[in-house]
Amino acid sequence: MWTDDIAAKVAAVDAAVWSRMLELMVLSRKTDERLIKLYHQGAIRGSVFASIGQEAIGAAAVLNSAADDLFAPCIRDLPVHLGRGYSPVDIFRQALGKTAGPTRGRDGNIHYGNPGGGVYAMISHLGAMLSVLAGGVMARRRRREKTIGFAFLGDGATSTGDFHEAMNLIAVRDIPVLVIIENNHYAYSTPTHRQYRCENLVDRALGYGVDGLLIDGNNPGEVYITMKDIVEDIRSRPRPFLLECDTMRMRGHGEHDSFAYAVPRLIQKYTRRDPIRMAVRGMKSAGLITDEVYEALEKRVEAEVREASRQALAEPGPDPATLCDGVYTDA
Amino acid sequence: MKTTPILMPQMGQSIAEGTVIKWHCQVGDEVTADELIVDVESDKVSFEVGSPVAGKIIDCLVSEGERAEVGSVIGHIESEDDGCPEAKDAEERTTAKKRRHQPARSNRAPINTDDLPRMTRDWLSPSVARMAVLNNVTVAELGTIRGSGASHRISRQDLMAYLARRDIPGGAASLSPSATADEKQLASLGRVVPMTSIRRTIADHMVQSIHTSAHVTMVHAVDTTHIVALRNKIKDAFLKKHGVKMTYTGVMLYATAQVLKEFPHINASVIGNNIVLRDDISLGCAVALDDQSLVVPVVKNADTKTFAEITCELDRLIKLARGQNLARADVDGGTFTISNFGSFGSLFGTPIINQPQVAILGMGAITKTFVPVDNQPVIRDLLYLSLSFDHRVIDGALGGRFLNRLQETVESLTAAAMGVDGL
Amino acid sequence: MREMTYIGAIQAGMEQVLREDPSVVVFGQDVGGFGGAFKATEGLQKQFGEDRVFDTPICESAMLGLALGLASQGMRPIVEMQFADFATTAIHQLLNNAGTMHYRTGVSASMTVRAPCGGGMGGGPFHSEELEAIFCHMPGIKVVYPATSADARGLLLAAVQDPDPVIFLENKYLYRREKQLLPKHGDPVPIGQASVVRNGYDACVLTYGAMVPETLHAASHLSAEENYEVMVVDLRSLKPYDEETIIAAVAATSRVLIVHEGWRTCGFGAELAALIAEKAFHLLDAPVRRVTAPDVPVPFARELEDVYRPHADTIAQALIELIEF
Repeated sequence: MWTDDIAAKVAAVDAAVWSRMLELMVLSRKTDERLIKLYHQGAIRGSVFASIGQEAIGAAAVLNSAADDLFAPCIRDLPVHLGRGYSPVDIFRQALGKTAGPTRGRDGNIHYGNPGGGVYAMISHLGAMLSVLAGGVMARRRRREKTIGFAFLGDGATSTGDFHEAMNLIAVRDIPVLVIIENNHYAYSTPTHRQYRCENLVDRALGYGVDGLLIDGNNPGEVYITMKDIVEDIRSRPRPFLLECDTMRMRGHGEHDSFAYAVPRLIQKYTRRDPIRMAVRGMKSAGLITDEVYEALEKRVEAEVREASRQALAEPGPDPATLCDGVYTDA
Repeated sequence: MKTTPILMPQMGQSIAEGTVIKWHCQVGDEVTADELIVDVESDKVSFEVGSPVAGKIIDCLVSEGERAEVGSVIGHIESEDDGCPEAKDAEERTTAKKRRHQPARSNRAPINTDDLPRMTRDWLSPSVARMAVLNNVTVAELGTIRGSGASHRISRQDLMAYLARRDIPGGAASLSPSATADEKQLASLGRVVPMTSIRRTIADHMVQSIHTSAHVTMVHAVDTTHIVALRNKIKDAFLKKHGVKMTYTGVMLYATAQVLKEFPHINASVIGNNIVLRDDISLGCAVALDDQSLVVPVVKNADTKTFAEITCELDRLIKLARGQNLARADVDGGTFTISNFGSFGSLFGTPIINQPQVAILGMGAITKTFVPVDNQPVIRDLLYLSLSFDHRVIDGALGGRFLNRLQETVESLTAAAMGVDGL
Repeated sequence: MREMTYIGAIQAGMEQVLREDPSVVVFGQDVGGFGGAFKATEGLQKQFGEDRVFDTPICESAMLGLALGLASQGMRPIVEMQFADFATTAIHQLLNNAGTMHYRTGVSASMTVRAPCGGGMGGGPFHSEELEAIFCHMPGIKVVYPATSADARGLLLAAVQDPDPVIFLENKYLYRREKQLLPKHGDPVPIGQASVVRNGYDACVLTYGAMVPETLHAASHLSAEENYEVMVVDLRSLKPYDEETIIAAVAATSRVLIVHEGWRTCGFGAELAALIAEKAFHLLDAPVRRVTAPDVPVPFARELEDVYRPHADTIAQALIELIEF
């Protein structure tokens, strides 16, 4: 939680970091909003899964990462993709199933990664990527790289056997992975009190014998500073760390979901605590940004995103003759 | 200017339809990109649809409250913008939807099928081979069946069709033309007239009969001067009394039926390895129809009928045949056949046996001929009778005896014997 | 040259790749100091260190995930499922993660999953399963199943070299029953090639794993007692399988018996029968026959397992019926 210590550390951070963080969050937000529009216009198959309201977490992780680090993002981590090498046009290509997209039309919406940026493509089976990330980190550290892993999971994913197996394995083998639980109150429609019995998910760290911390995931300053400390720590003293970020999913599970089950009080509370709003407020009070500058940023990003979607829309989809290509490496 | 369709969006994987709730624009309105143009909803969620491009609304195809399939076009915008390719696909999908439900042969390389093995004309599938064996179809016969399968192999259906033709009563096996020439090549030779199915059946029967029976033909000249005289004398009265014309065919049917009573081996059928001496004497009579086809109606139990009854029955059958009204029963059950090609002027011929019978009688034209009587030329009306018989079961002696007896019978035929003496 | 058991050949294969390729690691439950439940990894940790050969907790899914992660960064992990049966708790890591990775993301995952399988020794329902049909059904996964010591080592070397996930099925019944004289250094056996292990013309048997020696036994019996000569094809690779050799065997004999130790319905034999129906229909002189386990859990008691598992005598009987059809 917000302490004087964190406040002091936030104040000491270079202003450029906050500008980059804000820009990444806005880029993610505007990309999401455009995806939703395209979905409503019937241009996107399946569904669209937005990261709206949770951007601070992915953005802070990216800004605290090194080039050799590895990421296993989950559903609402668009800032990770945008911060680790992809531009909005890649995101639109993925959502539209275009040939030039990350999965070349073989998978849609959030199931993509960027091998060059150290980002694994998630599969839908929640918790399954944690052990994969652990293997990747293990491999890189064998080459004497200082790699650590950033794993992202929702509150729902912590209930799976995969989460448990992988947590226990990385604990036993001291694999440096920052396990970030984005507790956004709902797993699809299931509220947290139907998901787990412990008070906080971070309580589980004790059981795995790892360190853990619960923070405000919507406060960009707090998320950034906390992660910065943890990353420095586990990079030098390899071990996993369980970081629970309190946040809120601000839309349905996907855009096909009306979110009618959401408790209005939660929506109101987290609307006030929107991470972009909080970032702008904090930066303004620190004299780092003005309304005019922020509005200009929004406008510039919106234009960039619009152009990216136009570009992706105009690109070709995959040739049906390539259906069977690439199942194996040699064919 | 380009036309960009407005689409009913997909509102979840399982959603097939959406409802138009409210149009926020009218035809003719100018809209900017992303401007709210229509509200749609499914039973799960509602969407505000922004315009995909800046432009002018040119139609709203789905009214408020109406439903439309997900991905279908619900309106159009005219713009300078390209719109999205997805939208164009949807336009094609919407218009081509009905067509898409019918799988068609396509040129697209198949992805989810494997190549079939290459067959040859001679390859028989296990099913065809088994069916051929069970039906005593010889390899030579198989060679004559036209295959409709890959590489012209014989399919099960081809063989079944062949067997169905072969099993028609009166036929053994059918032999279709073994190969079809290229149609263009044929046309260069002259006008091409495909065989009708009845013609093909006749052809099959004829060829099969030639292949089945060992045909031998014998010819006798029969003096019918008295029959011609009798007919000239009573024909008007006969017509008046019976309503039908007195014919030489009728006379020969009558005489033949009487003679056959004495020759059961001529009034017989060969079925498999058995000769069946038929209990009844039912005479087929070949009738040429105007469409150049040939039918053989049967005068049942001709030996029990009077000359007049036979004549009337024959007339009835011929009328039915000409009207294409013959029933199966009218052509079934013949035990012997007579063909009168004399009516076309032929002196004599060598008719082909109507299977599974063993003999057929051909009637030539009755012609005035000088014949020696007491070494003096005398003009007589002569009728050449030719008997084709199956040498597998009938020898020349029997055939000759039968023709001799028939000649005697005809030459001694009287008005009284024929029951026309009162006319 | 030295005599190697089937399991000894697997161990020798791992020793060779660990020695020759620094990117190879071996891990699984009890594979370190203990040397594995079947002693396949005995001595490897001592020789190559805890860094290269290590134990994991009991976590089949995380083990396979870890292997995939290592492979995605260019390592060549060999992961031991203590029993193939236990891989079912982690099937999504194979089917959805490893099997789709290259198709979706273009990242190769060169990983070898050793899975001891098969019955005949009273292992009961959860230590005897033959799951090749399940693994073969997965896109993006390769499956090999050696029947001899030479192929066990050769296919293991090939699996480790292969750029894609390979499930290496090893038959526990053969572990110490199969022996061959082999050179010290092994060469890979190409994945996707069957081996005709006996020639014949009266019928052919398509088989693999522990059913290869059973079938060979049946074939020699038929040769001696009935004067029937049976061709025996050891498939060795199940995915991809050697279509060419299979069709050639059908063409040469026109009578096909498929033998496997796994279950019947949707078993691997069903795939072979379908292949033959599609591509070699015209070559057949008799129906394709199968000798398989029945569709029941693997039983424990000897009386039950003896009739559950195909034997040389049931194979011989089926062959006589097929040849005399």
